[in-house]
Amino acid sequence: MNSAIGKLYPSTKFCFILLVIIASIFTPGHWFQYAMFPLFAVLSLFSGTFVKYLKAYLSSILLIVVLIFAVQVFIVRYDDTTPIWAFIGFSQTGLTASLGITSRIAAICAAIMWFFQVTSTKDMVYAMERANFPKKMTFVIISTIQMVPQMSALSATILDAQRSRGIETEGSLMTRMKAFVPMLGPLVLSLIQQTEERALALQSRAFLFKARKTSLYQIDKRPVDTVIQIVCLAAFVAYVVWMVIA
Amino acid sequence: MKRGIRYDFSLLALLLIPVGVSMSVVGYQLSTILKFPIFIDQIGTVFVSMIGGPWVGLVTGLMGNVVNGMLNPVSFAYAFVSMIIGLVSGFLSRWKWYTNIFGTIAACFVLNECSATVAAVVTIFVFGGVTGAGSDLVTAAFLAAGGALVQSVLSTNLITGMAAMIIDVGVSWIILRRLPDRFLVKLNYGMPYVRNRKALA
Repeated sequence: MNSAIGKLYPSTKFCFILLVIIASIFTPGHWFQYAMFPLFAVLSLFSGTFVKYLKAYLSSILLIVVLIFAVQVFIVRYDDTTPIWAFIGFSQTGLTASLGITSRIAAICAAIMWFFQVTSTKDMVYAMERANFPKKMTFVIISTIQMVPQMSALSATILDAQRSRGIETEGSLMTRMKAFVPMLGPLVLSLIQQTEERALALQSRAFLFKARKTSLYQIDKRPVDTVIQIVCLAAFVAYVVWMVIA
Repeated sequence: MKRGIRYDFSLLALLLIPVGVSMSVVGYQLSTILKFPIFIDQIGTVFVSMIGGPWVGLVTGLMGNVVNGMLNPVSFAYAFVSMIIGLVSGFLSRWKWYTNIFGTIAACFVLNECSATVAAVVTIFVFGGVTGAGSDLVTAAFLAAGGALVQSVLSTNLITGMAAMIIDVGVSWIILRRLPDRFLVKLNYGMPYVRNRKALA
């Protein structure tokens, strides 16, 4: 988040990926969409998240794309399927369909993953509050994103504690299933107890008060943000005009 | 206690949403660690919708998928499945289906049907029928046997979803029985599960 791109205002980056996603969905063919991943890889190089981006993208998207490709081309029956062996057949419409689907998935996932890697949660929530999103919505988003890693760590502790008290976690399926409730139960009950205390703490800090709060953490829209947003808007209008004409 | 979309999002209900999302994430991690053949990833949504109602359950399902989607954007598409599970389960809780064992079993069937249908629609329209999960092998088997794409994906989801849904609803119900009365009375939808009925009268 320390690069020049990381310091941009979140809505600027959001406008950009929105433009990319809309263009990916509606542009016919598949070359534009497949080019999106290299584009975002280059952008992630400039924003200092190159290795993280590549690792995250390839580990999640590659498998899905290959599988969709294989199933659509070889297994689904279309009108022009020519059988090759047993139930595997090659289909030209399947090939075009799979190229279309996989290219769009690759492009949209590339854009979304890049956005979440270059925008910190704090910035996103601050931008949402400035844009007058309902306070309850921004609270839910930030508390969920913060709580999930804490709870994963807590559940690891509970897992070890229960194991040391004799809960079997290896063995037959039945044995492992009997371990599920003792693992989840203490976690949930301690969370519920914390919830009550948290509600009291928030109420004592005027959470539900209607006036606007001053934030200690500030980010501002700079001229470069306005320029990029205007360029995105112009590009979007040009794209719509081009799609309607062509 | 007034219920409805305008009254359901009290502070306590809002704080239950991260609890539900964490439960779903931890449930998924536990089922990976304990090497279950099915993934228990909706447990938080079902649990929160039982005590918080349909709209809080819907937001819990949505947030669960948003949090997962930050790492793997495929989850964004399946947010509709979690949302429908939260919504339907919340209404079933309001209609007191979860207060006895027969209603709970019937709820499993209803929830499985809804989630399988929505998941099939999403899988077919967005992903062309496969998503990279193990259940794709079942889909491929159905397709190879000559079934149409819609039926194959739907059948896959119904079968693999049923076991997961039984565990989701079952474990949520067990934990619900353990919640103290003084917490349940503060929630809009917790009244049917309060044990000390003499104190309520």
